[in-house]
Amino acid sequence: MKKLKKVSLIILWCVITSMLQAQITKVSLQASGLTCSMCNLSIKKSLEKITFIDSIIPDVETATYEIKFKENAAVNINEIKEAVTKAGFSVAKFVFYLDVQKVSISSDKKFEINGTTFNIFEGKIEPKKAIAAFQIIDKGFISDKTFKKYKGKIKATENVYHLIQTKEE
Amino acid sequence: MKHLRLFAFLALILDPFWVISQELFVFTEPASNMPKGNLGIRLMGNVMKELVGTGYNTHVMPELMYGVTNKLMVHSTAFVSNRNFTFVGEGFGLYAKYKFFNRDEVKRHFRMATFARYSFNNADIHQEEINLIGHNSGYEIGVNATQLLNKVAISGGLSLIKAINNGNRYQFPINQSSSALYYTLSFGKLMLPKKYTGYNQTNVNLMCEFLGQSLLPNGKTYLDIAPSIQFIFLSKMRLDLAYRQELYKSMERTAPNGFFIRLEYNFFNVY
Repeated sequence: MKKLKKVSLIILWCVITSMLQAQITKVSLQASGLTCSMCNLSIKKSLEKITFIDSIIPDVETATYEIKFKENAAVNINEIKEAVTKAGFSVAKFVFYLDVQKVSISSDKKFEINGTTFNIFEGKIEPKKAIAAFQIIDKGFISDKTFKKYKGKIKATENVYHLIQTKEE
Repeated sequence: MKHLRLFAFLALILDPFWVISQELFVFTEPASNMPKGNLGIRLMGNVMKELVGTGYNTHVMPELMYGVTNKLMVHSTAFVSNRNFTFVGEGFGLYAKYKFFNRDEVKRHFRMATFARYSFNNADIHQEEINLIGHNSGYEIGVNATQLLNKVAISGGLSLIKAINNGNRYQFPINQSSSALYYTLSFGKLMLPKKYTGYNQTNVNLMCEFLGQSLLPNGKTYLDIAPSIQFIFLSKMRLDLAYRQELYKSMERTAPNGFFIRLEYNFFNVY
């Protein structure tokens, strides 16, 4: 009986932690520096090499890729950006979707997923809402032109990403 | 209003240029590179009319291209020709290009690259023009810059060429200039599709390239125009059809005018 209690407690703990395990559910990425479909396909092929990616839906006209991830996989944001760079292009817009109920946001608007720190630079989390969309505004994740707007306002630190909350699509 | 009219007039005059792909040019390389780990295979053929007599000579050039990093790519080419009546392998070329400047915006970029070429050829030297693609042994170093603006690409290149003795003991003639400036200006426009819906749509690019050479130090020059049409199938296969025509020359050339055809296939993430 005691053993059963222990087992059920362990199961309960696993269920709770997996529910609380924050995961980026989706990324919407726009690439820059290209127009033609051949360039577009080389970015998709470069992204396909990433093991934690489950599916990529491209929009060739706008060079936007909707990326979904394998369940419980640790998403490495930098690896996604690097895949675009390796193909010879740049990231103009990087938006990720997250269940904010599963993260604990500190008073200085910071939260952590898999050892990476995110700092909300602009935007307010509504407590009732589950999924929120965040755009990364650090260099390399945004066009050089737009980055100029934030340069000086954000402090570049390794493994800390600065975010602005955007409208959920 | 006056300015508007002037603008409309200029747009009209410049239009023939704009109607001509993007930057995957036939005769020149853009400052952009192949993606890292991609492999391209090409087969190029050209048929050039001999200026003296009624003969044609045909060159066939198989080529391998590889993206070493996102900034460095290399080509290796074999030169085969029937200029001396039967098809023989005449040499090979090695080419490397390094992209040192990159500014990307949505549907736009400005890029600059530097490149170097080495060619070996064992055919006889039969003209004043220095051509490292299938005629002369030698070296080339240069820079190019490419601007992409939505569906239009403009690219320019400037290089220095040094010819050396060809193989088979064919010495470079001492009475000819062995070095030259090579300059190019290329325009391209993506004509079709008007709007992308997927990777299987055939892309049609129209291009026009201007290719010039001035021998150093004697200043003997040629200038060619090369219009071309390009088809890209399934976003990985390419067919180029081009014609090269001499506009002006003050140097001796044996067969400057002719047709070019090139097939290219790209393999993604080979390594």
